[in-house]
This record gives sequence, C-alpha cells and structure tokens, in this order.
Amino acid sequence: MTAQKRSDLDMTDDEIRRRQRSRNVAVALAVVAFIGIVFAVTIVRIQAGIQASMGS
Amino acid sequence: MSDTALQERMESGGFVRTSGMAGSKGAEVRDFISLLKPRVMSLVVFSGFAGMIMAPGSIHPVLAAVAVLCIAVGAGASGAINMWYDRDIDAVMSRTRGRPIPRGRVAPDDALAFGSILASGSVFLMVLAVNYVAAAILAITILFYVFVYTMWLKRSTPQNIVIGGAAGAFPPMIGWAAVTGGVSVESLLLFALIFFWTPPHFWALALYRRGDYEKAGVPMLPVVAGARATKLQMLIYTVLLLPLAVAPYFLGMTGQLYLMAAAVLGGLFLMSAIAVWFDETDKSAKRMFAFSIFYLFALFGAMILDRAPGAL
Repeated sequence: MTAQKRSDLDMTDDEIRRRQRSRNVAVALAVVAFIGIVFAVTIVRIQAGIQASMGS
Repeated sequence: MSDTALQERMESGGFVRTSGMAGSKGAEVRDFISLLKPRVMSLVVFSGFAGMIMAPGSIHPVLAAVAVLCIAVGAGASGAINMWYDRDIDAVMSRTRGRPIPRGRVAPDDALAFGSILASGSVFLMVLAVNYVAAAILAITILFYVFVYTMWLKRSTPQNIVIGGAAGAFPPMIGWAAVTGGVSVESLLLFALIFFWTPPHFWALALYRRGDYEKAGVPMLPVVAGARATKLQMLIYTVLLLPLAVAPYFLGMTGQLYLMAAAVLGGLFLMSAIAVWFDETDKSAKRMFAFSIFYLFALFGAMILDRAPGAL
C-alpha cells in the first residue's frame, strides 16, 4: 500500500481537524469573495445608471 | 451502479475508502478543486474570454471579469456533477480512477451538492452582473452537459461526444452575449469552431484509451465501430474544420494575422489526422490529442492577438 493510501486509512483526529479547518477557511474566503463581487457589481451598476441618467 | 457495488469495485481495484469516515471528512481543499476539472476549465475560460474580445461593443472590466468567473465556475460545477454521476465508470478507468470520488476522498453527495450550488450561483451571478441572455446560455450549457451529455448520450451512443460537444462549444457564445446581449452569426461561428474541433480531439483520446472505455462500457466510437472508422470520422471533421477556422476572417471578424495562424494551424491539424490514419500504433493519436489542445488555445489566442492595437 502506498504512503498516500496509508495516510487516508490511518488519519488521526488532528489531521481530520486540520483538513476540516482548511475547508472552513476556504468556504469563508469564498463567501467573502462573493460578497466583494456583489458589492463591486452593485457599484459599477449604480455608476452606469448615474452616467446614463446624466447623459439623457 | 450502486454505491455498494462501487465500493466493492473500488476496493477490489486496490482503492481505499476513507477509513470509515462519514462524508468528506478526509477531503482537502484541493480535492474539491479537482472536482472542478481545472484543466478543462482553463480552455473553457479562454474560449469564453475570446468570445468577449471578439464581440463588437464594450463591457465594464469588472463585469467582464465577473462574466469570465461565472463561465469558469459554471463549467467547473458541471464537471463536479459529471464526476458525481460517472463515479462508477470513473472507478474502472485508469485515466479517472484517481479522481476524488473513486479515491474515497469526497463523498458523492457532497460532490453533487458542491456542483449544484456552484452551478446555481454562477447563473444567478451572471443574471445580476451581466445580462439574461448570457445567463440563459450559461444555464443551457450546464444543463446540456449534465443531462444531455453525461446522463443520456455518454452511455448510449457513439455519437456522444459529437452532440455532447455542444456543451463545450457554448462558452464563446456566452462571452459574446455578455458584451452584446444577444446571439449572432459570428457567435454561432465561434460555437461551430469548437463543435467541429471536439470529435477529432476526443476520438484521438478514445483511440489510445479504448481499452478503458470498453472496460467501463462506454460506447465510444473506437469501441463500437473500430479504429479505422474512427480515424476516417476524425479526418472528415478535421477537413470540415478547415474552412470554418478561416471563416472569421472572411466575415470581417479578424485580420490577416488570424487568417495566417488559422491556415497554418489547420494545415498542421490536418497533417495530424492524416498521420493518425496511416499509423497502426497509438503514437499519432496521442500526438494529435496533445496538438488538438494546443490548436484550440492557439486559434483563440490568435483571435485575441488580432484584436490587439497594431495587429495586422
């Protein structure tokens, strides 16, 4: 059995927790990124709306 | 195949489950990233970006970046759902048995949830940030790849990748629609380029992986019709691709730089197909598969370069 497969089988609680933590951090970063994107899109849309109304 | 049968097959094949851990507790972030098929995603993103560059008009850079992100995430989500559905055959094929689900790193249900959330999120964000047409084509792409290709065609007909190839051909149309808000002859031409490129690309792979597909019961053309018929079909599609590849120039979409690139690349692609026709071994098929990836990157790269200021 390779080292990789063995590590999957013999994973300690600490290792499981470490992986869980890194997954949680990734999800948190994704949520923050999503909020940032929606915010940026909102600003761009509002600016475009203002410019359009000033132009008309 | 049921999950129990899959588990038995995985274990008989020397693969391990995640030591009795429920769900995806042993999964690392990179396992979820690999569910998104990053290599496939890169080509999808590149062609989507090219569609955006080729489209007449302009789009705010932030919205363009969001559109590209939505295309990438939507394509990745389709890949994750595909891996969920195909977990039984992935465990059998040597090319795919290292994927996170057959390895027992990610639970199938988690992969499905991951893919579904990302798919919905990408379409939702496309509606918010870009426009309804781009979002609708993105939704069609995801649904087509999951339901038409993965669940229906892949296991039922040797024409699976011909019809299913449409899913991979939509991204430039999404990019185009993100800028123009519509569909046109030009964007359909970009679609056709990838649509006709897909059969020789996939069948080159299937030629040297036919044992894998046979074992998994996937009716790829080389398995069903044999190598000779497949090579002939590859040649036909490669010849059909030649005029399509130079057509953007004649429609006034590109300049001479692209025309020259498309002609040279087309000639080389045709030579690859001819080499496959005459080669009794798998060597030329492997070479053609690798070249086909380069071909599409280079073709769309030439389109982008052609649009750069000061190009021919």
